[in-house]
Parts: sequence; C-alpha cells; structure tokens
Amino acid sequence: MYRLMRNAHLILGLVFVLFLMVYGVSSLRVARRGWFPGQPARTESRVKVDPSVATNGRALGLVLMREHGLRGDLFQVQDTEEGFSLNIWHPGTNYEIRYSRQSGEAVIGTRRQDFVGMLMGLHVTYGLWHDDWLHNLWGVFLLLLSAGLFLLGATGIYLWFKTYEERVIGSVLLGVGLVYGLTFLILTRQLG
Amino acid sequence: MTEWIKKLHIYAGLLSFTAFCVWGIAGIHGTILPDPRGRQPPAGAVRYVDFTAPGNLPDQQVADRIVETLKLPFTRTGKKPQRDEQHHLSMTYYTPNGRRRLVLLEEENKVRIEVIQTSIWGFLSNLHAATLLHSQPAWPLKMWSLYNEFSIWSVLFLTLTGVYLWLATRPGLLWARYTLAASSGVLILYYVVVR
Repeated sequence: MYRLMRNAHLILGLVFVLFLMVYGVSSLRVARRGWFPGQPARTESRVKVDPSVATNGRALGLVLMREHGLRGDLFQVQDTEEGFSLNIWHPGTNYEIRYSRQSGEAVIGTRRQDFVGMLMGLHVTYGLWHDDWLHNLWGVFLLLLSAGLFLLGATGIYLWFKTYEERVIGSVLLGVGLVYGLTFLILTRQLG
Repeated sequence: MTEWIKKLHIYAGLLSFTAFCVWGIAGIHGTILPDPRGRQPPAGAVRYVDFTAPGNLPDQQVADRIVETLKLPFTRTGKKPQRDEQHHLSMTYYTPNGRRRLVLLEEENKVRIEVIQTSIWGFLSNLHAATLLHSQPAWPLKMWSLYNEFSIWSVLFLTLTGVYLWLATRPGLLWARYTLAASSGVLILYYVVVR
C-alpha cells in the first residue's frame, strides 16, 4: 500500500508540476504586483468589414475570428455612436475593437501580455462555457488539477502518517494549519 | 540534505493543507459554474436605515459619513461614490460574502442596503484569491490572506522540492520521466497554440 501511495503521489506531482508552477507564479504576481512591472504591449491595426456583414457586434466578432485570425471569447459588446465596440479575449491577449458603420472599418487594438501576464491569463481562465474550445480545454485542465490537489494532499498525508518519526510534529503542523485556516474562514464568513 | 528537504516538504504540505483544499474547491466550483453571460444575479435582501445627509457636504464626504455611520463589515471610507439612474448616491462593495450596495435616498432620509449573499462555494472561491496586496478591510480576512499567501509560497516550494526529491531518491524511474515529459509537452503545446 505504501509503495502504491508513494508512486501515486509521485505520478500526480509529475503530471501537475508545471500546472502548479503556472498557478503558483501567477498567484505571486497577484500577491506581489510590484515584482512584475511588465506592461502589455499594445499595437493597432485596421481592417475593412462590409457593414452588410457586420450587422452587429457579435457578427463583426465572428467575421474577425473567421477571416482575420482573432480568437477567444467575445465580451463587452456595446453599441456606440459610430457603430459598436467589443472585446475578444484569450489568455494573454485582449483585442479591443471599435467599428464604424460609416467607414466600414474596424480598429483593432491588441494588448499582448508578457510571459507572466500570459500565466495570469491562464490562471483566470475557468469553466466549460467558452466560445473558444481552447478555453474549455483549460477548464478541463483546471478541473483535473483541482481534483489532483485533493489526491496529492490525501496521498501526501498517508505518506506522512506512515513516516513514524514525523507523526508528532506533523500532527501539530497539520492541526495548526487546520485550526488557523478554518478559524479565519469561519470568522470572515460570520462577519456577514 | 535530502532528509532535511523531505522534512520541510512534509511540513510545508501539512501546514498549507487547508489552503490547498480551498483552492481545490475553488477550481471545481469555477469549472461547474454556468456561463456567466446567461446568469442572472440573485435578488438581494433589502433593508433601510435612517440617515440624513448633511446639506453642506460634497458626495465623497457624504459617502464616507454613511460608511462611518453604518459600520458594515468590509466597507470603508474613501470609496468613490456613483450616481445611479435615479441620481441617487450609491456605493457597491464586493466582499468575500457577496455584493453590498448602499443607496442614499436623500428625500426619504434613508439608506437602502442591498445584500446579495454568495453561497459557501462562492465564498471559498472568493477567499482563494485573497492576498495581502490590498489592505484587507477586516482583520479575519487579513489573517486568512496571510495564510493564503504563505500557501502560495508553499506550493512553489513543494513543487520544486518534490522534483528534487524524485531526482535525489528515484531518478531511474522511466515511467516517472515519461509522465513528466508528457505532461510538460501537453502544457507547452497548449501555451504555444494559445499564445
């Protein structure tokens, strides 16, 4: 049993090692924003789209994805005085699009994050409801990683418990973590 | 050396176990949530409290006075108030427990308090993102943020020491090498395609 658990712990760790680094490093970016001063690079391009095709923001977005290589989730679709505006987002890249019906031109502002910004983009991608199947695939990775965290924890606790000389200090640390964490979770919830 | 790293690996994992459970729940919760574009925000509970806005103060100071008077959890002075469609002064706070909206009804000398309480799963999901970056407005949340941030460091430490322990104790395991190569390949391929 011990051997099985040890191998399971190792294999889970190796399956998720880079995924955990993605989440760990991007969490550091959230917690220590000043350590990662990189700003997204912004470029702008213009494309012509026939107003008879771009009848609304969503139709324009689909044309830009199909014919101009943009990819991601459509959001913030709004009417403007000139036509409409929308955003298309995928991890690490955001396209801000303004369309003029009169000129039939879409101005595409592209904000591209650096490496850590890209990791952050992956961190905030979740769910299985996206327009872009790649986002849904990341949602599956996240689900597997989340389940993997529990399994890593469970196998890790088994392995610790079988390491007899670490039982006392380990019990104290596990207890401290549980009591501290649960106490402040409950107190925060109780605040209402 | 390896023995000490193994000890520290165990200790860090045990200390951070609670945070890892919260992160795991947040990940599963995020996955099973329906499409937010079709989701209607739940109706909030509404109550009213008496409040008379001093006539000689600008919006910001009136907003601060409301916050000081009501003393609601997770609210604090300094938040820029908005004017809603009916031109009422309003402030919205996103707290770990859900959304709180304060609306000043000046003609009635009341403040409307709208409370949308998040589920326990949403609460845990909110807390998984709490860090010390923003000075947290409530001390239990600050204490949780401290633990959460410790656990961020912990997961990085566990990842690196885990790889070290594998290489130091069982470097010859072929299936382990193949597993690492396959999972890394999948992630790198994904990164390249999405990038």
